[in-house]
Amino acid sequence: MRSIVYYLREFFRPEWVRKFFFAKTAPLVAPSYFKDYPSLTEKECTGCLTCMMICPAPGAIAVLHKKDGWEPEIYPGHCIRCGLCVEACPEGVLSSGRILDVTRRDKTAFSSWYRLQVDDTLCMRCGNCCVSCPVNREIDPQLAGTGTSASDEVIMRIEGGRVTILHEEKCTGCKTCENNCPNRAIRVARMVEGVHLEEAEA
Amino acid sequence: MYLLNTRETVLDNLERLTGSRINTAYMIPGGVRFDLLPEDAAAMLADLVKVEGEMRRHTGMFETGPLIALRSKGIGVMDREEAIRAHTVGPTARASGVVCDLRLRHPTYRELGFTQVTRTEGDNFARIMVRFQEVFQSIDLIRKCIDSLPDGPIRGGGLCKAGEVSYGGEAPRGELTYSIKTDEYGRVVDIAIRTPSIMNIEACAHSMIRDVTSIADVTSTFISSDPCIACNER
Ligand code: SF4
Ligand code: SF4
Ligand code: SF4
Repeated sequence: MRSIVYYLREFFRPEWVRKFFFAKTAPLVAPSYFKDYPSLTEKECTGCLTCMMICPAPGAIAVLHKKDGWEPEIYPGHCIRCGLCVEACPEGVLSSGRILDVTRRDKTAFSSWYRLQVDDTLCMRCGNCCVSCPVNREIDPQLAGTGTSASDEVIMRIEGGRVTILHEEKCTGCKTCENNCPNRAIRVARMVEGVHLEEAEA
Repeated sequence: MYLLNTRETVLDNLERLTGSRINTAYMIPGGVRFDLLPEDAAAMLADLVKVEGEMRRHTGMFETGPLIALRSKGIGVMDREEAIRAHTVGPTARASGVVCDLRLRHPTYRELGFTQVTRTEGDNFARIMVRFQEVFQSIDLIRKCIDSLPDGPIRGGGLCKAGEVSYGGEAPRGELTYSIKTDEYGRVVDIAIRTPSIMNIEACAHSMIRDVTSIADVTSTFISSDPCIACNER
């Protein structure tokens, strides 16, 4: 009995009753700083693939060649809304919440570079990696089929029956090669460091 | 159900700082993603007052409400020896008087003057109350942190290289350990995660539930060990 009285007193305080009958829940609106799936701004994508490089979720973002140039596409089922692509894009093509404003204000950035490794025991010299690499494609549009190339400027090519990496520094870390390798022989290592711009320049 | 309302306020604050409520993706090696603005810090402090007030009321209801005390005091008792033997961690162990909070060894928490919340009853009531007390403790810690937040860069850089490490930190449910092995470029080669619920559910099944006499109490005893099923089903 005592306990019933206790809870009646607890729950029938005038404030509570008033709230129960008259309180209106504010309509649910996402605040402006909510990090939604990245959306496109009007800026032009240069196809540098930085967004694909930094994305931690497999298959969440792809930069596709559309009629009028490159355009990143987000796959919401895969995207975890971390907003890293927004932060990493040097052109500000993507936008989500207030990330763009905040990174500008904080002067934060990512510096990154990549390493390519081919495991010769796994590689079967199919050339898929050389063909699929978007950077290779740009440099040598003729590169196809076997992955051989006449150009010395490509990132990697099949040379003498094995993958030779010529210009690691041109790699954008998009991992397309890795995804297209049937044997997981080629591995891209993405080295990303979060930095403060003033410090990086100093 | 009431507490969910308070939780909303907490999540709103997380969102204000990081942009997301749960998966905040806020920390990066060597720093964090965004800086805390003075106006956001002020709003956060204001919300903390609100959260604290609401929590005081809820705690009062739990602590002094006769129905709850009747249902939870002396039920699901696990003494200190049993808690140690079962390797319990987190609030479940602390409610049985085990000194196990890893934050006691963490340099940042030490600087903040962290002390562990301990109760000795080891019953359902103690386990709930430890968690309530820890909420207040955390509120104080957040206040201290905001007060003593130094200016300066929020990112110091830093790269992951080859290595192998096993590190345990104090998660809300207790000790959470990650063992990670990486290669020369910081790619994860091997990873093992030990979540706190693994031990706590075991302890619940073998120690706490033993003397429970009614089905209704089984449920509440199980819940009082704060089991996370997703943590175990991996
Ligand atoms: S928000 Fe994060 S998960 Fe989503 S596409 Fe961008 S980088 Fe990938
Ligand atoms: S990650 Fe692979 S596909 Fe992408 S740019 Fe580098 S070499 Fe080419
Ligand atoms: S795609 Fe893989 S198997 Fe084929 S050549 Fe490239 S590294 Fe070798």
